[in-house]
Amino acid sequence: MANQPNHTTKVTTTVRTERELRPPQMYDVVLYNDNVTTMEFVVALLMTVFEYDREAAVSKMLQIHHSTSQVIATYPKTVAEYKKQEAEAFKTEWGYPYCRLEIVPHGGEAHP
Amino acid sequence: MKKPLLHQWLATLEGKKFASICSEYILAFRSPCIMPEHILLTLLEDENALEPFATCMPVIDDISYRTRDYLSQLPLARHICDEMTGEFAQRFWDRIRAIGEEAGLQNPTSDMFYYVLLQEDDSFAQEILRHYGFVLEDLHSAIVKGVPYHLADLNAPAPKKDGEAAQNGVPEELASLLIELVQVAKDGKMDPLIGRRKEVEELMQTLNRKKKSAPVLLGAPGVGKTAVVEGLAWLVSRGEVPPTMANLRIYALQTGALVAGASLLGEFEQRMQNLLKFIESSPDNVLFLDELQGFMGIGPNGPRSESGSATNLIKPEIASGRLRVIAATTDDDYRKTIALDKAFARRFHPIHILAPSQDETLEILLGLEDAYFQYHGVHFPEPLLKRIISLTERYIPQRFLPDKAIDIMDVVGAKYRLHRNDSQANQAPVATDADVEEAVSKAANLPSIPSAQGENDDFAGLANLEERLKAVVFGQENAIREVARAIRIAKCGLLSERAGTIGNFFFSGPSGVGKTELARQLASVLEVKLIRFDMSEYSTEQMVTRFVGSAPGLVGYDEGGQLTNAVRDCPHCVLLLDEVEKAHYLVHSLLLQVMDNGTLTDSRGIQTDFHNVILIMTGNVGCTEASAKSSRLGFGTSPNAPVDPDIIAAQFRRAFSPEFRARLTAHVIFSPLGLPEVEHIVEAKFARLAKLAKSRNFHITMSPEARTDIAQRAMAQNQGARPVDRILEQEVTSVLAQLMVDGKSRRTLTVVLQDGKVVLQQG
Repeated sequence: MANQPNHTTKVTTTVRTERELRPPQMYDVVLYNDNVTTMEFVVALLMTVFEYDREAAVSKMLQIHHSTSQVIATYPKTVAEYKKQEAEAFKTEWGYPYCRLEIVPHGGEAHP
Repeated sequence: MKKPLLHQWLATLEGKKFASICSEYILAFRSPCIMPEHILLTLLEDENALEPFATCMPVIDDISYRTRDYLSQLPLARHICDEMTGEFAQRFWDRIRAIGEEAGLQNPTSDMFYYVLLQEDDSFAQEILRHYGFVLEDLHSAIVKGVPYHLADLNAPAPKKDGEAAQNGVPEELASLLIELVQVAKDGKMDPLIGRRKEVEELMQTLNRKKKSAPVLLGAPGVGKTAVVEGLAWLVSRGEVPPTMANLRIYALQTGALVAGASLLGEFEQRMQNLLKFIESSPDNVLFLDELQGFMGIGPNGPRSESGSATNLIKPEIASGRLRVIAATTDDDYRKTIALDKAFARRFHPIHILAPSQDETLEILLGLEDAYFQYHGVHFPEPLLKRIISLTERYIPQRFLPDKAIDIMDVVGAKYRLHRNDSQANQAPVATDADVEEAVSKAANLPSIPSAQGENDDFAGLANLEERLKAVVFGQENAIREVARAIRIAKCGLLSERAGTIGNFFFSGPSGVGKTELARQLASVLEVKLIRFDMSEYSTEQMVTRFVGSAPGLVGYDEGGQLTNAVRDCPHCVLLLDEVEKAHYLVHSLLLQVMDNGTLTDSRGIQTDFHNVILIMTGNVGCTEASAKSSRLGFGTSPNAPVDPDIIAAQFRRAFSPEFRARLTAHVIFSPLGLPEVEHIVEAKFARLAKLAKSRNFHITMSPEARTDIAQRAMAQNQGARPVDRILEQEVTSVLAQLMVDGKSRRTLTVVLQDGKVVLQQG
C-alpha cells in the first residue's frame, strides 16, 4: 500500500497488491502394513473412523496387506489431525498399538 | 492445565453463545470435527467482531460466502463431533491464551481470534484472511497495544487529502464534492494568471454585490473561462486582491459526485442542503459551478425534472444574496439550457469572455512556457510560440485562442516527454518548427502543411505552380495561367478584402479537355484534399437540402449537410463542383454566399468556414453551340476545331445570373485539344503503364505511328482525351496482361502499328 500524491496531476495512486486465493494444502492419512495388526482390526478401523463401507474397507485392507503403505483418506489439515487422533484412540481401545498411521501433505514426496 | 481463564470465558453467556453457534455451523456443513472456518464464520456473525472491516463492509459478505462455499465442497461426514475438542481446538485455545497473556487481557477479544486463525497454517481461514489484507504482524501489534485493528481501506482518500480538508474546514461528507481552488493555488498546482485583469476585476465587482452576487462567465469553448476563475484564486493566494476579497475561498463543485451514489429518497437533497449550508456558513465562501449546463436539471428525478432539481434548490439562495456563486458556460449552452429557465437565468450576471488577440495569446503562452517546461522538459522559444499562434489561427479557425494554441504546445511537449532520454537530462531539448507543423497538421486533418520558414508559408508550392501544373495537364496553358495567377494574388494577400474563398473559378469547355484533371492536379500540387461533388445529383429542389442539411423536423436533420460536413472536416481543400449548370438554381444562390463571405450555415445553424477553400466549378455550358457553329462555318468537320470563346461566354451569361458571375475570380475557358496535345496525353498515359509493367519486369515502348493512331482515333470520338484511356486499355493493357499470365512472352515489347491495327510486337 503506497499512497504517494503525484504533485503534477493532483492524482493519488494507491497500489494494491492482492494475493491470489489458493485452495489450502490437503493432507493424506497413510496407514502402514505390519505383521501384527489383524485384518479384522484394519477393516473395523477403516469403517468406524474413516467411514468406509465394508466392501471398500476390505479391498483397501488387502491393498495395504500387499504393500508397505496406502493413503486411506485425504482431508484438510485440521480434519486429518482429528481423524488421526480418533484412530489412535480406536487403536488403544482395541489393543493394537503397532498399527502405524501418519499424516503427510497431499501431493508431497513419496512416503518413507 | 492452566485453562481457568479461558474456561471462565467459555462459561460466560458470550462464550456459550460462541460455542453454540460454532457447533451449529459444524452440524450445518456436516463436518467431521471443528475446523478454523467454523470459527471464522462464527466470528463474522458477531457484530462486535466486525470492527476490522469498519471501512470495507462488503468484504464481510465476500469472506463469508467464500468460506461457506469452501466448506460445502468438502465431503459430508457421517460421524460428527460438534464439540470444541481435538488437536486443532487444543492448539487454538493455547494460542488464544498465549496472546491473551502477552496483551495482559483476561478475556479473549475478537482480534485475538483473527490473529490465531491467521496463525493456523494450511487452512482456508488463514488463506482468505490474508487474501483480504489481514497482516499477522499488524494484528499482533494492535492487540499488544490494545487498539482495535482495522483493515486498510483501499477506497479511502489518501491521508493527506483528509488533512487538507480538515484545514479548510470542509465537512467530511462534502470533502469529495468540493475542491478549494485557492488552496490548490497555494500548493503551487495552478498555472499563473496572465492578462485577463479586466475580466477578473469585473468578476470581483459582481461578487461584491449585495444581492445576486452570481456572475456567470460566458464565452466560446476554449477562450479561458475556467482560467479566469482559477486566475482569481491564484491572485487571492498571492494576496494581490483588495482586502475585502483577501480571505476568499472558492469551492469548485464536482457535479458528478453530487449525484453519485445518492440511492435513498432525499439523499441528494440532503447533500445539496449540506452543501449550501456549508457555503453560506462564511461570507468568504464562493461556490464555483463550471459547465453550468451540466448542473441544470440534475436531481433525483432525472434530468430536466422540475421538482427538487438542483437549480430550484439554489435559486432562492442566490436571489437573497446568501449564496455566492460563480458559474461558467459556453454561449451556446447558455442559450440552449440556461436561458430557457428564465427564473434561473435572471439571477446571474453575465460576464462575456472574449477570445484574446494574438498578442495577448502570445503573452499567455510565454507565461505558461515555464510551467510546460517543468512538466514536459522541453523549451518553447518565443518565435515558435508565435508560429504556433499563426498556424492555429490559419489552419484551425473553428476553435478558439488560447485553447487551441495551448493544445498544440501540450501535444508537442507530450511527444518530447514520451521520448525523453534521461541521459540528456542536463540539456533540455527545444521544440522545433517541424514538431509544431506536425501537430497542427494532425489537429487540422491535413496531410501536411507548408513547412516554409517564417511568414512565407503561404507561398509554398506557389513559386512554380504554373510549371508544375503544365507538366501534368496538357494543352491548357491559357487556363493554367489564369488559375495560377488568381491563386497567386489571393494567397499573397493582395486582394483588398479577403472575405470569401481563396478563389472561385468556373471552368468551361467541352468534355474531356482536362477541367476535372486540372482541379485534381491543383489539389495535389498545393498538397490539399480534393472534395468533389457531382452537381447533377442536385438537380431537384429536394436534393438541394442534402447540401446544407434537412430542415428541422425532417429525417436527416441531425446529420448536417454533405457539403458543410465535408468542408468542416477538411477546411483546406480544393472544392470541385462538377457540372454546375445541371444543378438546381437554388444551389447557385447557396453558392453565392460561399463565394462572397466564405461561410455557409447549415440547417442546424452551424457555420462552416470556406476561407481556405479553392472553389472550382466546371460545366460545359455553351460548348455544344460553340462547336456546332464553328463546324457549320466550314472550317473542316473536325469536332475538335477551336470553339469560339464569345459564344461560350454568351451562353454562360444566359445560364448564370449576374450576381453569380460577378463573384467569380475567373471564368476560364478550356480550348479543345488538338492532335499534338492528345498525342502528349497518350504518351503520358503510356508512360504510366510502362512504369507499372516495369515493376513486373516487362519493358514496353511505343512507336510514334501507334501513338498518332491512338490519338487520332480518340479524337474522332469527340470526347476530348477521355477515349485514350479506353483505347489503351482495350488494345494494349489487356493484351499485355494476357501475355503476362501466359508467361511465354519475351520481356521486351513494342507497341507498333501493323496493317492499321495497334499490336504488341515482341523483341
